[in-house]
Amino acid sequence: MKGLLIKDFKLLKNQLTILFVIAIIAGVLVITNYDPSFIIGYLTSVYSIFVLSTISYDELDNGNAFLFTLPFSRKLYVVEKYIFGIIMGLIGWALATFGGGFYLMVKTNTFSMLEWFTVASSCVIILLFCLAIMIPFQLKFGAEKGRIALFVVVFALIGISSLVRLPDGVKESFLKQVNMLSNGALIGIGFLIAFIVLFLSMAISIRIQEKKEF
Amino acid sequence: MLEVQGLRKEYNAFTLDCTLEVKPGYVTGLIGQNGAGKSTTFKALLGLIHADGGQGEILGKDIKSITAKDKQKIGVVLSDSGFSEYLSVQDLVPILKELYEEFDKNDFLKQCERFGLPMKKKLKTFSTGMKVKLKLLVAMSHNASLLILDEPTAGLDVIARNEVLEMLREFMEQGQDRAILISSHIATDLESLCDDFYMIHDGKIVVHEETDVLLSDYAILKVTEEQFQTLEKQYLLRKKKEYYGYDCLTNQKQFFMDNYKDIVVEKSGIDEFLWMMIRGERI
Repeated sequence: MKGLLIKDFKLLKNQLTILFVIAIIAGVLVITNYDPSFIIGYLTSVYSIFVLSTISYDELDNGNAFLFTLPFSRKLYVVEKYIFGIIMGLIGWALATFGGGFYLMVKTNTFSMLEWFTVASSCVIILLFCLAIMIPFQLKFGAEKGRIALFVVVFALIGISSLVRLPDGVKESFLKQVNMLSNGALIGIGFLIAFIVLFLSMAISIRIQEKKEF
Repeated sequence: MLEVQGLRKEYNAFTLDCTLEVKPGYVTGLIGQNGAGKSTTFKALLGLIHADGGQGEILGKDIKSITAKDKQKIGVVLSDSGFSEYLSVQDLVPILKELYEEFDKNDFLKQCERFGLPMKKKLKTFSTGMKVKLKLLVAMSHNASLLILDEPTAGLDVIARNEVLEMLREFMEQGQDRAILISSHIATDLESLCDDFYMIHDGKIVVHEETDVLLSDYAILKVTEEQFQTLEKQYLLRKKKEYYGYDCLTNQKQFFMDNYKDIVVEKSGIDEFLWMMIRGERI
């Protein structure tokens, strides 16, 4: 696992400039009073997307064939990609949360630490969902087709959800129940669901990877 | 060390059906034209593609249940695949150190220096020869018992090819229990290295022979139409029409040298043998 992580971080060195530019853009957005929660979400998700580029690097020039002769299992490869994605997302998250938080604390009088970290925590939940959706598509379809497949599925889900009509009162009573929960409980439930989805996604990715031929 | 029986992989227009064995202390060559099934064999052995049938063992383990731990003892070179070319030799060191329990960092670095491989340059800037040498050094860096090498000499100039062969000889000298399975579409590359050869054609092993036997007992007979009629046909493997009559492949060189004084008996190199086996007509 450690060897694979080192490989991916070494590959990431090729994209340091892009990582830096993304962080600068986030910094500019903070200074120009952009919605702070958006900035955490932006930096977290954009940094986590770099896991997809490491999968592309692995696939480049039929590199996977050699890679899978090395002493690790296909399962470990998949698990490492999720961990790498989480690490990258958390780097982006930490930069935005602590950097942005510090800036806002100094610049504004209305800064609430609790509120800020509540928003930041919800961004971690979004990160886990993003990875859970992105990685299986990338592994199954590759860089180009993966992106198209992802868009198709997301739009299809939006389409289906807009067509589904819930019985009268169900939505209202659900929202009422949600409103009764504290922020902490909501975030806890969010994390729980995100981890379940992430493990399901990981199981699907392992299956995809084990069926592959190189 | 390695043994497979009826290893099968089916594609639309191609079926692999391969049986071969690599004994301890042996360098075994797998020769055949491009597209004959060499790479497919290697990929099936290494679990990179899922075999449709057959059975086999690598280092005493069923090929279907090779684990990461078993792969510690196998070094692999693939002709069309390697570490990402966006990495440098320097980047590879910590990766290999973490992946292989017996990675010998000092020796690896020493060998890289010996073969003039730059430490900091990205692999994409390396020449073909440098890339092959690096692939081999990686395969030999972790005390592997078995090397599986797919076309490591392809595209190399004479100097680089000889250096590669030298590296492989050094690997074999370091232990009795080591073995190499190596493929090439140019058999002469391997003539001086291999102890035995398998020849693969259209996905099937057509010949298995010890190199010494191949070089000492096999020959090409160059005969006229009339001479051909008089030849003992049971010792002829293939014939091929030529302007002067026939070229015939035999594995009984001495018999023809003793009994047919007036015909031309030419020593068969492995490439000539390969050529006759593929292009010649069965007798």
